[in-house]
Amino acid sequence: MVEYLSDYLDGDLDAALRRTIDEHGGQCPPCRAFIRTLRATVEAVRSLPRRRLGRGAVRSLVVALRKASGGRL
Amino acid sequence: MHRRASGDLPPVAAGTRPPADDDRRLALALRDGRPEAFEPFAERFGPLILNFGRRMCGHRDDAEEVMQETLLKAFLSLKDLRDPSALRAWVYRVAANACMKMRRRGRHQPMERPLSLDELVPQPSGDGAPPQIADWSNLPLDRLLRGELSAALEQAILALPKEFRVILVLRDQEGLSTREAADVLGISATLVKVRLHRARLALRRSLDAYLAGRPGGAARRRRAGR
Repeated sequence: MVEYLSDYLDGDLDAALRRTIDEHGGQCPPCRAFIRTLRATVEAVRSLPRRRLGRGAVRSLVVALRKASGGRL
Repeated sequence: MHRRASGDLPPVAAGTRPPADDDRRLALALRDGRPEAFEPFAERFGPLILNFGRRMCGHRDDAEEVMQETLLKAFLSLKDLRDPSALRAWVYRVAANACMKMRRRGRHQPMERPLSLDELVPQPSGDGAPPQIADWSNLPLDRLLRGELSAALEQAILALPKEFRVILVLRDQEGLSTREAADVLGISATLVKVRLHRARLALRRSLDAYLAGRPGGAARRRRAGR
């Protein structure tokens, strides 16, 4: 069952397999904990902060790249 | 009525993806060689590639190098882009190649080894008793991510073998679909799914090691293993 868990979390499983996992998870505390913590892991990865690039930084970048391109930009 | 173990994951919040039409228009302008298109191109893809590079390389200097190399190379080779609506995948492909090349120069050597399911999934004990698994899913991870957990998770991502890391970053941080990630890397969708799953399992194991020692972790482990 474990090999299907990412597809399960991504909503990519067919209904029968999904139901099997739901039913098993409802009766098996270790498996339920495993699925929940796997889901929490993916959510944590997705929540990691992203760096932003301000408009000034983009302009500086464009200037630098134009220079580096030797007139091709 | 059965009890659900867990619902579907929400979509990737970080993927601030502009409409596909915008990418297409931009790609056509770039392909026509209009220099004024470079600034909007850099504005749209610079931050994306900077984050991608940071996750892949781990250092800001290297991420900036990847970003600059990618933007310049992607811009100058856009004439080879057959499908203008595939601009995003094209840029990630150039970025992924830049990251791989950087590692070949000897920096940030990843630990290259397969991730086997047996080592990633808790196994039953010798007497056949089910494994004890801590349920830390109710810990306030969003709050913990504002502190040291964020650095621990970033390190765990960097410790993944590169073939696994690149897929995790593309799928779970950049918000690409399985098909898009497969196109970027030139591999099958099935292989993307297999590697993504193992990468997620490896990170779950790292978080488990990190969080199980927190207050409540041991009690949760006992309860879940009953």
